[in-house]
Amino acid sequence: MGLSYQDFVKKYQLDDFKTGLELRGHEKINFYNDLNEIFKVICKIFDKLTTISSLRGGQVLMSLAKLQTRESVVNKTDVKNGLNVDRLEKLMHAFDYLEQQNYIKIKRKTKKFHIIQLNDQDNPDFKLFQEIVQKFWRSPQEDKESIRNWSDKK
Amino acid sequence: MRNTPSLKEYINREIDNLGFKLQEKRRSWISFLILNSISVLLLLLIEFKVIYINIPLLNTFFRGFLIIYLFISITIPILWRFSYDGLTVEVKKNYHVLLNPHYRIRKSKIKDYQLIGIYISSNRVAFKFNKHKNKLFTDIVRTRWLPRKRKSIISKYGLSPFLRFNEFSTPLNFQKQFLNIVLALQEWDKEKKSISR
Repeated sequence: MGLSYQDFVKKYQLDDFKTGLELRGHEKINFYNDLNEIFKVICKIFDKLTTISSLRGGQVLMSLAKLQTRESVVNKTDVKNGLNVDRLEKLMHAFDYLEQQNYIKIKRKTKKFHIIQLNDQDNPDFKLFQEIVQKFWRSPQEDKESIRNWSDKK
Repeated sequence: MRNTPSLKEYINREIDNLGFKLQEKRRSWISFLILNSISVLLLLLIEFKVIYINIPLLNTFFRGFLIIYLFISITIPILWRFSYDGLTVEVKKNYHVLLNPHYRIRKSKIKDYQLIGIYISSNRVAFKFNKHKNKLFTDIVRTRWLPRKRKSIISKYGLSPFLRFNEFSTPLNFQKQFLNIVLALQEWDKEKKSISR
């Protein structure tokens, strides 16, 4: 099982604002080590994302990580819409590459309907990746909606 | 080289996909027309001796002025053309984004240039010497990783008294970078109101 941001917050009760955070002796060392471990995984995620050679591979992975937490079934068109890309063909190479790399799993239900999933069994670091993306990343579709609302407001 | 039809078509499609409209702005010809009409008029008036200065010192001054004016009337429209003419997108009332595509035909043997680039800049958002607005502008620029200077000579050396957001993109990441600059404008629009209060 991969490292989790939420487990880290829960372990040290960082979201409990009623009580103060007191760390003594080994607790402090464990906290420091856990924090370093999280940063190490984040660095590994950076490294993996930057070495994805397919043009939109990194974006596809992020969009999938965001969608997968919200919806039970994610298909290629959902990813395309999330990234606000006009044609699915632009992402085909990325899907193939990520499947080859074992980063994602594609279940081909029909000729056109393909369900995709992050392969977090083989890549345990995806758990933290998914948590970060879900919490902090805004997809181009969300950005587009935000600016459309602002633009239409008089 | 600034533009190619295919690049323009590509940008148009991307902008359309975001729900905005691309417009082509060419205002340099107005300055060219006005400045050069005055030049022609002055030269005609001199030719037909309507303007005739008898005093040698004044005559020298007038000639000097005329030479400077003729030089300016040619250079200003050219500078205008490269700095302000281009493709614009009106994102909201009083807010627009200017796009300047650049395409380098000649490949340098020494430098590995990015062949196709699109310089994106916003309209003027504030006067540089307004302390509070300058601080807000700097905060937005920092959080959104926007480049502080644009490509034009005036801005490059900090000569412009106005603040505007700038961004650079290639065709591949154009949409994301465009969204980034529009989101910066949105943030500016919201935060500016709290400064004014």
